[in-house]
Amino acid sequence: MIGARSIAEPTIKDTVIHRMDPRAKILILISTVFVAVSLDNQKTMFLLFLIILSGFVIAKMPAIKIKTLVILLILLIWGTIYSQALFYSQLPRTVIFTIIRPDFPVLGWLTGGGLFVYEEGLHHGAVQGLRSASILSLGLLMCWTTDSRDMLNGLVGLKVPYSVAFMVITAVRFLPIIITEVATVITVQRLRGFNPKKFGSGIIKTLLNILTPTLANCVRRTGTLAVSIQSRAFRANPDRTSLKKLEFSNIDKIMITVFVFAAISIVVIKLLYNMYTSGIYYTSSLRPVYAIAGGYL
Amino acid sequence: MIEIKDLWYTYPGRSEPTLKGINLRVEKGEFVLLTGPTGCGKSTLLKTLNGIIPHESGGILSGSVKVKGMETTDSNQMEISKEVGLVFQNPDDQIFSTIVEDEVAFGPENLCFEQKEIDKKVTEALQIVGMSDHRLDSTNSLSGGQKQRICIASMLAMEPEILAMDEPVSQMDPMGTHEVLNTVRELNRKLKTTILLVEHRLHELAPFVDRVVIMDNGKIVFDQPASKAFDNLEIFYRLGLRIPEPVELCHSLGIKASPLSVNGALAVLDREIKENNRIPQQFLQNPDKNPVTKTSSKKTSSKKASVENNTHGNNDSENNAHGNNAHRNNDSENNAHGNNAHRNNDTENNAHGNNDHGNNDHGNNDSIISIQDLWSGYEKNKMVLKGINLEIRKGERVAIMGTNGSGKSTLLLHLAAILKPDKGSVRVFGEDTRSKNPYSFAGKVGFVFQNPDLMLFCDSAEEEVRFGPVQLKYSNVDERVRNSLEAMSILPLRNDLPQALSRGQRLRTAVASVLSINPELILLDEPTTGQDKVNIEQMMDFFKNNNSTLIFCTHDIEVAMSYATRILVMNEGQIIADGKGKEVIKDTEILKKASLTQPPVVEIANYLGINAFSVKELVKTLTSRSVEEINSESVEEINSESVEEINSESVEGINSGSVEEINSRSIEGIKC
Repeated sequence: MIGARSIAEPTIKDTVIHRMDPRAKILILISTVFVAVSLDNQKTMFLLFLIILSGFVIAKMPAIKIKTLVILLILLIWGTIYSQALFYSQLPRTVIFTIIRPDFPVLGWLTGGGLFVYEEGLHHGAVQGLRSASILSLGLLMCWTTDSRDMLNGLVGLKVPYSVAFMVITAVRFLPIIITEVATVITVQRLRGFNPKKFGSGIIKTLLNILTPTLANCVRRTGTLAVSIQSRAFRANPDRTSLKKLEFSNIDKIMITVFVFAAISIVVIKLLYNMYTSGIYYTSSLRPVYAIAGGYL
Repeated sequence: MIEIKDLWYTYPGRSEPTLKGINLRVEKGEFVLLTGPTGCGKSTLLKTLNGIIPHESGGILSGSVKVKGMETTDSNQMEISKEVGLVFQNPDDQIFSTIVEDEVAFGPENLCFEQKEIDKKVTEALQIVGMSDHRLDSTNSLSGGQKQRICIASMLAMEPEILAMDEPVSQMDPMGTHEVLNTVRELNRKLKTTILLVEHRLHELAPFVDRVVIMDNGKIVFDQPASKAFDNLEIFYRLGLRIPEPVELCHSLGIKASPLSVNGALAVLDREIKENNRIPQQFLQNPDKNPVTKTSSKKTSSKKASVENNTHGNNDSENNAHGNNAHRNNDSENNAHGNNAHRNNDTENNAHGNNDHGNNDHGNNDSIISIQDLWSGYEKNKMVLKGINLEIRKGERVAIMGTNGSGKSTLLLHLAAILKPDKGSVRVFGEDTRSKNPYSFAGKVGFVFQNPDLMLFCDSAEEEVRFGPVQLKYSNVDERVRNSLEAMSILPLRNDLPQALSRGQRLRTAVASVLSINPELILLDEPTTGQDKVNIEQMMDFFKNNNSTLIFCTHDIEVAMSYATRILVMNEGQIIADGKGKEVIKDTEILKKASLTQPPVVEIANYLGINAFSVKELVKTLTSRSVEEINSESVEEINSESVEEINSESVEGINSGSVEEINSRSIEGIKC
């Protein structure tokens, strides 16, 4: 119960990453998303992934969170690689393994000419998997190292409307509580002789039994919370003040500059390269840029 | 400030209205206590003040609710909400910040106070509710009572004109309750804040309020100033409401007075002695502590001395405790370091595993729980339980009491194998919980959580109660279900959707769902929260009559005294006292450490130097002593009269005899 909850809650420690301004973290995350989407090179993507993972070491994340991360990443990367390897549709593609032959009765017809594992699909899947894994890892690192209050202030500081930011953060903030409640409901049922691990109809029954009290509690809580925050003058004024004011440190400024500059550079280089490869625009003065894009990006 | 006229309200999907023609007027600066049996419509009425009803809930509403002249049905809910600060029953539904100070700062931030001002308001509000040390704590790590304090603090920080609170102290320890209510009362007096408070613990809150309003079955059936509210107790008995013990004491003694505090009761008793000579004066022997007798102590000093001698002299024949109490009253410091210290050692030994005392009392060696050096916490560096040693035997009813956040609920969770020890061992029915999960104890251990809502997942109360026996393939399912529903008084609600019942009813449904399994060990986390006296007694009587092994966390010392065979007092993750209720309750030092208070009747008894733990006992002792005193006075009078008579007769006899003898001898001598 507690383990499940601590996975969803931030771990507050005093590390460089924890101390960073939430606005800086959000900007770095946005920059990284652009970089990850732009990159195609497996090695560079893997390097980016490793850099992000090193953040977990620097932030001294507890073992339970590292375990959770590893499980999520394995599922994500393996799932993406496997699905891309099977369903890669671009040409050329090289079959390296046959799962269902085209002439296999019924299944061969059902699969539209057999099911194969393609080499190019594996490569493409690896890039896609690493791309998603990098974004997921950085997002988790940001959530696990930032208190929801700071996150709220960060979003407001980046000009996100307070109501929207509040809703987002409140939803995230209640996630650990909902997880705990689900665990409590399962415990209650276990103590009353119901074994939720039973397969088949047991799973459906378990889900219904879990959903009823959890949803009822959520609905009740939502109503109460809404009134509670309204009676505390929520949105009573167009502006609001804050107990804690955010300030960028020098490290924040450097990090933002580096990440934003890198993101803009990579996106621009990739754009130019794609324009070149698709025959839209070419100039010989940009050949070093094309070389970098082709070789590393 | 608040004006409600002929208010009727029916919840969606229900045929019978929950509020039936409510008329209520609350003036600015009034402190009103709204009470009544569980499910009578108190919380519903409170929700109409804020516009939640009907804006959020739907349903059919008629009549008028005006708050500061605004008709709530016609006004924007946001506007009304700004005027009325609401503190709800369940703190988990209100707290959304992860850090305590953020939660309290939220209101002042929305009101655009300067940073310094917000900081000041947060500091003050946290100080008021005694949570200054938890300012930077995670709200998730707080206990239920601590969360309630935060909810109150977040409202206090905004200083609203109207404060409507729905059982805001139901999970709070007694001392915390007292402190918070004192502060709320101060705010009410200084800032003229209008306060409407819904609470079952009438006996604890009555001294703080101006007016008592009682609801029953959707109607206001009683509305009196607090000073006159208890002149006639019929309605309180009829509705099963708890009466303040000082009032009950006076009424039981036939005194026409309704003191709401211990001092008030002592003043009344003192007056009764002087004016009506009803109570023996010897019981008011503690003038230093009693403000009333202090003024008249000079007059009674000579008599007092003889009373003290008398009590010491009576030790052998009457009872030791009487004498000990008298001794404590005269020399409390010595007592604290003498007799009490000795007993504290005993209790400390108990807390560290030596429970011989408790065991011998029960003469039962069937240990079902054995805890050795249990350390446990939700964070590695922050242990909640610190070296618990405990042995619980079959048939014991153990009350776990203590400060909010002292580890009571955590200890219970260990007993159901929901938590695993970080260090030490927990054995339940001889099995180490480390290798078990709650399913291992299905049917053997029943657990009722603090929040019963998470225990209710079926479509009707009956199905809910049926679930356990069916899953465990028990026989006599129908009988079990019926008995459990009856025991918890929810048989008439058996077809209702559990989640749609009132909080008290939901709790009873959750308890019934556990009772139907008839587990060998029942664990209840704050079972008295939101329950009226009748329901508490009914539930606890059921456990008592069934000889269930029961472990329950509670802040209600009167319930613990009445139903527990043993009380554990916890503080900062340790058991600081373990013994019979009467032993634990006498130790004011231990109680103070655990933020507990003696029930008023015990305080009064202590002042009077009597060893009594309930109103009944105290009344019995006082009346029997009165008779004894009268009898002894009569005997003395009779004796002295007899002695005088006898003496005079003897003297007369002797004298006359002697005279006659002497005379005759003299005459004979003369003759010779």
